[in-house]
Amino acid sequence: MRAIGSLAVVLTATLALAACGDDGADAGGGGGGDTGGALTVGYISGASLAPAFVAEDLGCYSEQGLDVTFEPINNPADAIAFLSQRKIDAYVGSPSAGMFNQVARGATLKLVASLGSVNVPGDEPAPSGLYGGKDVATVEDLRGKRVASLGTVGTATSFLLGKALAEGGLTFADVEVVPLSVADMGEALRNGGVAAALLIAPYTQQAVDGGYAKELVDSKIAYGEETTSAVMYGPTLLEQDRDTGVAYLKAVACAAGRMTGDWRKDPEIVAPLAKFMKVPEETISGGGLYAFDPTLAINAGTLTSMQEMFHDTEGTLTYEETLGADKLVDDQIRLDAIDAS
Amino acid sequence: MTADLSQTRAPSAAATSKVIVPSARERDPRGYARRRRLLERGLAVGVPIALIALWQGLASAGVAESQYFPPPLEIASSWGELVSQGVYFESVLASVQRIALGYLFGTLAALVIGFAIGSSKLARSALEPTIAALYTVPKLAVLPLLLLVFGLGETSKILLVALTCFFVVLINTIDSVAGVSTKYTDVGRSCKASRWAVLWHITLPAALPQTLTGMRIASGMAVIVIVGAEFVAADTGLGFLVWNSWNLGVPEYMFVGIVSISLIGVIATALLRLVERLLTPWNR
Repeated sequence: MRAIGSLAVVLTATLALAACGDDGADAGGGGGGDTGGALTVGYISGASLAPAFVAEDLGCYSEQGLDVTFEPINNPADAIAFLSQRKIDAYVGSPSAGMFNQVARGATLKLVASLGSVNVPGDEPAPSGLYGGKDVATVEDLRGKRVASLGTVGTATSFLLGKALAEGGLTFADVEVVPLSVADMGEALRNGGVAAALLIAPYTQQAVDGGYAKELVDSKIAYGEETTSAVMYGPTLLEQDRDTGVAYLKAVACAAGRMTGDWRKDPEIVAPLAKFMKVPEETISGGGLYAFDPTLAINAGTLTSMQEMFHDTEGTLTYEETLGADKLVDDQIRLDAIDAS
Repeated sequence: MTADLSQTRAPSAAATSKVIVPSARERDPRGYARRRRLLERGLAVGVPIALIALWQGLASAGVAESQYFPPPLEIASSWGELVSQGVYFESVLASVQRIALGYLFGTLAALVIGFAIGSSKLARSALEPTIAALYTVPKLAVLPLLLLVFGLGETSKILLVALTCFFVVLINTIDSVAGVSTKYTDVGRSCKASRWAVLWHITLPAALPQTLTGMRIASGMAVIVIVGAEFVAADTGLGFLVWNSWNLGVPEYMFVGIVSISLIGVIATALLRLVERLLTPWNR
């Protein structure tokens, strides 16, 4: 009994302190007021988000008078919490069920721009896709089998997996989704631990070159116009300091404008991106190609498709009615940024 | 006892006197002990309840941030939801199974090996540095290797728990066996006790308290490590419930998982304390 008491005291006191405290200890520019051009941006590393990462070296941030501090985020759910609690000002990553659930509960965070898409021109293969192991020939073969995804149903990656499965007439209910890190997927495919995996560059090419995985669907067809790479803002840039929000998107658009065509051949892009992502330059220059629209146009349909798909998996979304674009997107900031550019 | 126990010290007529009155503890030691016990138990229950009530009050008043720190009543209601959906017991069962199996395998192996090594000075010299080195390896760091060798199923997670428990119990068992005074074993041998009899009647009882302490510590570590493993490589269990609820932005479910994990740890510790009391009555 004494042990239970002690435990409850410690737990409750910790939570009470955490819940009450530190409202003012906000992100660099945050604090609920004018950022003065100093922004803290949380990010998930990935080539599909590249313009936000190379904008510094291309001089786009300084051109806008911005002082950007990047904070790595390991888990998209952390970013959503930090954003809504003003611990970061912006998040460069992907929307997820966690974001939808929090917005449904009244959190102030919105998607303000889209970044990389797999819709690259010509014969260039998509940088991510559903790849099967040696015993799998088609998507239909995956029925009842284990399929690896980066995170559980509800993540942006799982949405792409759902789109790929749909090409073979399957849903999440027809397979067992196994959350695995991207680095572990290759080995799991090789030793038969999973029948298929949603691979992301550069692991896609490694798996194909290693001869233990083959593409099951054409991702360009499966994903269509969907894009899950995005920039999201919290209350500081949405409400208190929209001007800095506009300036930040102008800078990202400036970098995206430099990344049209095959930007992997541009050393001024590859070198800073490799440095930022802490990978060899060859990983970037030989990796997957994402297409960037300099207008950063948002595909609100993706957010609707994501919600519809996640609604079909019980327990993923905590609300009934699909949230409209007005609740999830603030397009005016982007329009102001593009107009000013 | 009823006589006036007060004493008067009077070194001189002008000096002050001091009356020593027996305390309540001295007048009624049994009653005092009973009241003290009641007070301690009341505090053990009352303080957490008061803190939870405070948390609820702060949340209701809007002082505590409720988006990520839901009030206790909301957590309790979510607990009910998870139970009615069947998710809760499925999660608890998955975690408890992994903990129990891993703990049993790891502990039994450690007890047998620990007694063998502890009984032999040569074996201790040969193996203790290696054991110390392996003990400090963070067991969660070897999870990817276990997954690689044993696949994504239950085996790798049970083995992770077993490995964690193994080293804690092993080190405590070796120390406790090696620490048994030779005076005791010499007495046994003087009485012509067999090697087995010395082990059973002298070494084992003497080593048991520390060994059981190691087993109790291992039970807590088993809970910690399985939660970590379920965060990254499971689709059931309380660790998965916590992780997935956070990812999905449903913190009240996450708190249900956190509290349940704590309760499992507390129950495991209480059970092992009971075992300790039963097996080592001389050590109370």
